[in-house]
Amino acid sequence: MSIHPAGVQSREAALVAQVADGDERALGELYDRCGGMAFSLAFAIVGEHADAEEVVADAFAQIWRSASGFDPARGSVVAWLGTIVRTRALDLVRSRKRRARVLEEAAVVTDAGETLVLAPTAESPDRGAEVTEASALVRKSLAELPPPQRRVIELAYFGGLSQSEISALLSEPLGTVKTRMRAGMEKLRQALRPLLEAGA
Amino acid sequence: MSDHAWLEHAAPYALGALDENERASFEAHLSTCDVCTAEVRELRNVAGLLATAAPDVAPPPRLRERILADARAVRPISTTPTDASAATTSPAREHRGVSRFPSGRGALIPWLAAAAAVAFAAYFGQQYRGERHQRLAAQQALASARAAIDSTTTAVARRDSVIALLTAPDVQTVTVSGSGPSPSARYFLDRRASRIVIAANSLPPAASGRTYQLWGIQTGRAPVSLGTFNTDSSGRALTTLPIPVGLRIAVTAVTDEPSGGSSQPTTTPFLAATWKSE
Ligand SMILES: [Zn+2]
Repeated sequence: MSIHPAGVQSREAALVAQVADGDERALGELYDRCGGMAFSLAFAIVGEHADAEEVVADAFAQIWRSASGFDPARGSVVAWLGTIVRTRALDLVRSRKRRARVLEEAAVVTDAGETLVLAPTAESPDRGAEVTEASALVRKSLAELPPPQRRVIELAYFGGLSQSEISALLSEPLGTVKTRMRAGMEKLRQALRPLLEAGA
Repeated sequence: MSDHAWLEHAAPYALGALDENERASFEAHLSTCDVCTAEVRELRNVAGLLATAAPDVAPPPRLRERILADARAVRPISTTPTDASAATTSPAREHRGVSRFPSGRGALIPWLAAAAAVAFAAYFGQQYRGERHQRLAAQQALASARAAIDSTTTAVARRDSVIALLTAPDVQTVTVSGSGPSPSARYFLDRRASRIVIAANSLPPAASGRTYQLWGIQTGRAPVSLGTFNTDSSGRALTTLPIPVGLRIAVTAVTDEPSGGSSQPTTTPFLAATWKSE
C-alpha cells in the first residue's frame, strides 16, 4: 500500500532502508516528510504539545534503532510510523491516568479563559503534496461515513478504546458497536482503495 | 469466505479495539489462517491511513534537531536479510536484534508459524522482541488502568476531544473553571458543523425541577439558548448541542434554570468562555 503514488511510497521506503543503514540524513528527510503527520497524530491523541513532542521524538528514536524491522511488503511507511506513534501516544495517555486528574485541574486554572485554536496550520512544508492529497481523501472519506460509524472508528483509533469501552461510553449495545465498526471500516476500505492499491 | 466468522474480528483487530480475550483468540487463529491474515493486513493499512486524518498541528522547529541529535548518540541496529534466521533463533540476539519477518507466504518458516501471533503484533507494535515481555506486563497494567478510565474526568474530556477534534479541522477548545476548585468545563466549538460540546466536571446535578442551560452570546446581542443539560451524580456531563444558524458566538456561559430552560438567563452565568471570531 502507499500513502500515494508508488513513487512517493518507494521514496519513503527507500529512506527507511537508508535509515536502517545508519544514514542520519535519511532520518532527517524521513522526518521532513512524515514528521508533521506524526506530530499531528500524537497531538490528536495526547492533547498537548509537550507530550506530543515526547511521543514523536521517541517514535523516531525507535525508528532509528529498528528501521531494519520495517518490511514494505507488510504495509506502508506511513502505516508503520502511524502505528508506532499511536502506540506510544496511547501508552503515554494511559500511563498518566493517575496523574491526569491533577494535571487536568492544574490545566483548568492555567487555561482559564484561554482560547486554543486548533485551526489547520498553513500547509506545512513538511508535508509532501502527495501526502497532503492522501490526507484530504482520508478526511473526506471519514467525514462521509454515517456519524455513528465514524464515531466508533475514531474512538478506537484515536481514543484507544476497545469495543466494550466504546459500548459503555456511548451507551450502545456491544453488538451495535461491532456492526458499526465493521461497516465503517468496510466503507473506508472502498473509499481509500486508490491509496491502498498503489503498493503491496 | 462469507461464513468465515473469524473475519468479523479483522476490522476491530486492525483498529486495536478487540477486547483482551477476543484479541488473544483471534491472534491464535491468525497464525493458522491466511485469509484472515490477508484481511487484517489490508485493514491495517486502512487504519494506518487514519493517522493522516488528524488535524494538522505543526511540530516545534526544535523537534527535528532533537531527533537528529538523539540519533547521533545511538547507532542503529543493522540486520541483513541473511542473518535474520540467526536473529530469530538466538535469544541473546533477540534482545538487541530486530525481528524481521518473511513477507511471502511461501517464506513462512516453522518458527514463524509458531510465533506468528506474537510476530504480527510485534511488527505493528513494538519492533523489539525483547520488549515483548515488558509490553505484555504493561498491557496487563493498562487493562486495569483502563477499567478506571471511566471514573476520571480527564477521560471524558479527552474522549470528547477526540470526537470533536476529528469532526472538523477547525474546532476550538476552551477550558474554564469557576472560582474555587469547582466546577469546571471544557468546551469544544465546531463552527463549521454548527455544534458545541460541553464536558463539565465537578458540577453538582441541578436541583429537582431545575436544569443547566448553555447560552451562546453574539457580541452586542441577547443570549441565545443552545440547550439544556444536567450532570450525573458524579458531577459530570458530556453534551453536544447544535448552534442556531447564523449565531456568531463570542461568549458561552451556563446558568441554572427551571426545568425545560428559560428564554433568557434568570440566574448568574458561570463557566463563561470567550471565543475568537471565525
Ligand atoms: Zn480466518
